[in-house]
Amino acid sequence: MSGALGAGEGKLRIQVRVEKGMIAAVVLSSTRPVSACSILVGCRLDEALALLPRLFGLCGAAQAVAGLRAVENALGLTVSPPQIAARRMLVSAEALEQTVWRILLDGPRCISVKPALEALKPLRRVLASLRPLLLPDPTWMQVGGARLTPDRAGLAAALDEIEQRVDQTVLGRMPTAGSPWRDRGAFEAWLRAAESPAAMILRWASEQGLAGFGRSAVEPLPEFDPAWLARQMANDADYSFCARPDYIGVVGETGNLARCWNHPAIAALRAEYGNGLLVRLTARVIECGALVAELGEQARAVNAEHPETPDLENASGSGLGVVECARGRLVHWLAVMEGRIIAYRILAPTEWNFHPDGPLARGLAGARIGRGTEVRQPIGLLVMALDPCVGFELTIDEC
Amino acid sequence: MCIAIPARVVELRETSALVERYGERLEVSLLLLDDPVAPGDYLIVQAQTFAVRKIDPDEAMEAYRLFDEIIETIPSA
Repeated sequence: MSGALGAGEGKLRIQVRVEKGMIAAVVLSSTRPVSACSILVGCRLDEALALLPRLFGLCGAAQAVAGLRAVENALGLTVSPPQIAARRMLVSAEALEQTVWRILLDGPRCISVKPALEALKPLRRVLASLRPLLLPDPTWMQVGGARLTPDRAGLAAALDEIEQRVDQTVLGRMPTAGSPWRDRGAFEAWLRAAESPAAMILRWASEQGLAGFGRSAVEPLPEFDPAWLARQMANDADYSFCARPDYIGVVGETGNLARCWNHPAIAALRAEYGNGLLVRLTARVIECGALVAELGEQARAVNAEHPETPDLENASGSGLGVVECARGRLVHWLAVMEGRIIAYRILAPTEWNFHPDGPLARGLAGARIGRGTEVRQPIGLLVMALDPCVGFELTIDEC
Repeated sequence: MCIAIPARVVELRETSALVERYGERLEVSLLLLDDPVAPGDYLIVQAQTFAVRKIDPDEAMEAYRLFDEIIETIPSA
């Protein structure tokens, strides 16, 4: 990677030393440009909000919604429930696409199985159809809300197709009727018999004796105290908190597993394997169903409306926007004076999960790798399960 | 933060394309795209592996202007 690109896009480096079947040392370093959002300083609010999804094109909806919430909180604006529902649909659709991507493409590649590319393509197409069915204007990132014209018949058809495609591609043909999460027997039956990429990856982890691989004592991030978080972000002029955050001294994890932590199937697996590989990979599969359900729930809450755009020219204040996105909790904070941004910070979920004291580093340190297992495979799967938002380079030094 | 730097198509291959961005060349799969792709088009690439979207040249130029600015703000650039 060229120096210029490396500096622009950033990269995560994971260096691991393996001694006698055990990971003896882990070093995480990163060139992710946490200060990239400083280019929004000096922009008008509407300019900045239009730039966010273009700068962060792979999670553009989540970034735009976090930015909108930060602006609206700074201005003390209340947004209507239908607008909140429409935004949540866009963020959930983006999260579902990325979550299914990990299962169909990245997971199989980690264990040298052919990725299920042909299954992802139609799902991406129908997920992308949701925005125009809700919000007719491509510039939907309007402070206070955008023109909302839900096409109910179109949405219902799209949501049905999404549900069917997710069930078919993620869960596959079910060996027994009902959900594989209803009890341990149903899960075990699905794990043994299903031929979907998700089941194949989980089965591989289980058969290789890697169900508990990467377990650590790191727990999900608690709810943030907004006043505390706003202070941290406001005082973070050098972006050191955004690069290496902690919540009152503790590093937590965020993302699929954190969100599914108390799901009965995950709680049962955690009792046996902690937050190990099988548990993380299962949480990702469960999350697909949860996101489909979320889309349906929010679709019922959208109504046609066209809110007025508030005066942004003289806006002053500061505010936080927090959004749960594909990779976990995303935080934006900004300060605005007379309509122009004077400070902008973004705390991305990757900074928690790939923190030097976070779930990857602590999960790998001391982990044992069974005889006959290619070391790169379980480490790659664990990285994929924790899902960095930038490319990564894994170096393994085996003694 | 998943910053999306556009990549310009240099050469088309069977189901992939050789693309370039900031002097770095990558071979990316085109299998997830619906739109036809030609040399000179600009693509958004995920994980340095798959093209996920085609963007128009004006949008790509605007993106490069922003990324030039970002690179200038980063000490190691």
